[in-house]
Amino acid sequence: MKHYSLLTLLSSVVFLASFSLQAEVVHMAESVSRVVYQGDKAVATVEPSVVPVTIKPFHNKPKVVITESVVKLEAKTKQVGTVQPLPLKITPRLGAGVDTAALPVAVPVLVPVLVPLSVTSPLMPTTIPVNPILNTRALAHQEESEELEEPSLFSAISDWFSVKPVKPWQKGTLAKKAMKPGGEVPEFDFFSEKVFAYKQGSIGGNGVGGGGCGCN
Amino acid sequence: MNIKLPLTILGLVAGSASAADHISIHHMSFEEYGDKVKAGDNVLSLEKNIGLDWTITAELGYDTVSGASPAWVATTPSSGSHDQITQDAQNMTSEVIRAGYDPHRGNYEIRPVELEDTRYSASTNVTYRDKDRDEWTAGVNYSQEEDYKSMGANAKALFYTDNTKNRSFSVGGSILTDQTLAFQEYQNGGNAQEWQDIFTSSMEVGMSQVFTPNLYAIFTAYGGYKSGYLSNHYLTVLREVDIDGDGSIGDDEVFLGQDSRPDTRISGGVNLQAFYSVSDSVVVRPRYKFFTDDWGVTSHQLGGKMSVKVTDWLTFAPGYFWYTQQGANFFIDPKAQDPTFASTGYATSDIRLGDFNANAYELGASIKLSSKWRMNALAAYYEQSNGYASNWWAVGVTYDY
Repeated sequence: MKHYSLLTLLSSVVFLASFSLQAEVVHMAESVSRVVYQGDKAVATVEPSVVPVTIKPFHNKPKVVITESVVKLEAKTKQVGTVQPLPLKITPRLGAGVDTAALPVAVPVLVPVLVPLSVTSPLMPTTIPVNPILNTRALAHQEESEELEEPSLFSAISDWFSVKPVKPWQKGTLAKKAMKPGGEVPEFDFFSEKVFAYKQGSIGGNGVGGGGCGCN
Repeated sequence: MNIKLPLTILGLVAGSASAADHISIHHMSFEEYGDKVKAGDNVLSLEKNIGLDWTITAELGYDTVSGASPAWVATTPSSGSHDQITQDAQNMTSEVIRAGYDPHRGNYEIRPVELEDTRYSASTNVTYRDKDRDEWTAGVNYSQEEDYKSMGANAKALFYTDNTKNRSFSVGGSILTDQTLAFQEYQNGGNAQEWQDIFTSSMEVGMSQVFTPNLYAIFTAYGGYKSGYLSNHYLTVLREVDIDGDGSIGDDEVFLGQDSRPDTRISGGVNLQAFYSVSDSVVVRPRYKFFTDDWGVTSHQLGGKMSVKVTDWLTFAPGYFWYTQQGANFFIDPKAQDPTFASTGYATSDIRLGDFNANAYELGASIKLSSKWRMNALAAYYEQSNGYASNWWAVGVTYDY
């Protein structure tokens, strides 16, 4: 049996712990993006304690409430083109998905939060503590919360096709003009449909608009 | 179904308009093979967004139709006695008998009949999006030509059924009140024309579903109801009228009759269209449409269009559609061995209501001239299994602002 030195084992554990932590941070970043998107409907209050994040509905014009920050929010806003609602330092908590009990070494506490730049949201009133700690308790069960989203009409369709909800920031391709019913040049379809309606015995199915088509 | 080109299909353009403000003008030239109908169609489209909540679209159209349409005609020179025998035939049937009697059954021929007309049209739609981004659309339209008038209104509502807005549900309807100048029964040596009403209503229920960041589909069920004068007054049929009452039809007892269709039509079908982005530069839009009505017409259409972005400034848009149709139960092919109808009953020899398959090919191109100007061009070919064929091309420019 091959023997490993204590240093090698320690390094491996640290490496694995770092990897797990990175995965957790990515997971949290996704949760953060989700919260950011919901900024027009809710305020995410990040507390330094173990109190879960609370979602407070607000109306119309959100306001930025900053009690204290480790960085200048204004400068950061200019840099990324969007307001990041969370502090830049995250200290993982117990129970946040990282089994710190199994780690023989201290876990790094300075990890950058990756917020997709494509996300544009209104300013969010976020209270940022002096030594901010992201409370992930409320975000730890994101998958469950997605499943528990309000039941929608014809939701069985999603089940049939195993459709995972497409996030708003994933709809860039869907928003292209080529993906619209008329394509890049709607007039092409317009003329084609006129000829089809003129020379074929079927009518309807192209929209409820009427039309002075004069084709009986 | 008139011999003229349909002018405006508002729902199509209104529903497919993009979010950017733009104005465009396009010209289409349509031509049937065999020196038949030629048409020129000019469309000016405008879309204006006011904030994020309002979208206004407007459209002006002007088109001309000229050439000839095939119809039954007598080839034997007319004489004074033809008026009386035609009147006798009219007196024995409730169907419209047209002037143009031929005493020899075999002398009726299908020949091109000259026609010429122009049409003006206008339409506008307004869409409002509420706080949930649900859409409410309403519109009106009007068109006028020498022998046809049309006026209508439409409305549509679109609701998102979940908070991720990956699924929507829409319902819409439209009504049209048209008038056409139709031939009346034979009297005093001819057929007078009078305005006849046509009422059209349609309804659609649709649902869209986003499947992936590159794929979504729209499913639509549609239905329609028409009433009034639904015949085509340009077209004629051959009717056998036993004017001498001997119980048999002689060669001199075949008359020109008016195309005659039921005065109501109930139709419906489904339409399924998908939108799939294969890559950053290739988008495909397959589509299937099913149609059926109480006249016996049933059809399937299958095909699609693509968008291939070759460069930043050049996009090609090829398309193909296959179509098959089972004709109306009162259709007789004018090329049939016996193309005649009885003295009464619905009758049409309009090949558009017959059995046929069709193929449509088209290739479009859009060239980006600048950040705001685009030039568009299209060439298309259409053929039916009954021998009919036509082609059309279109050019135009779009200005985004």
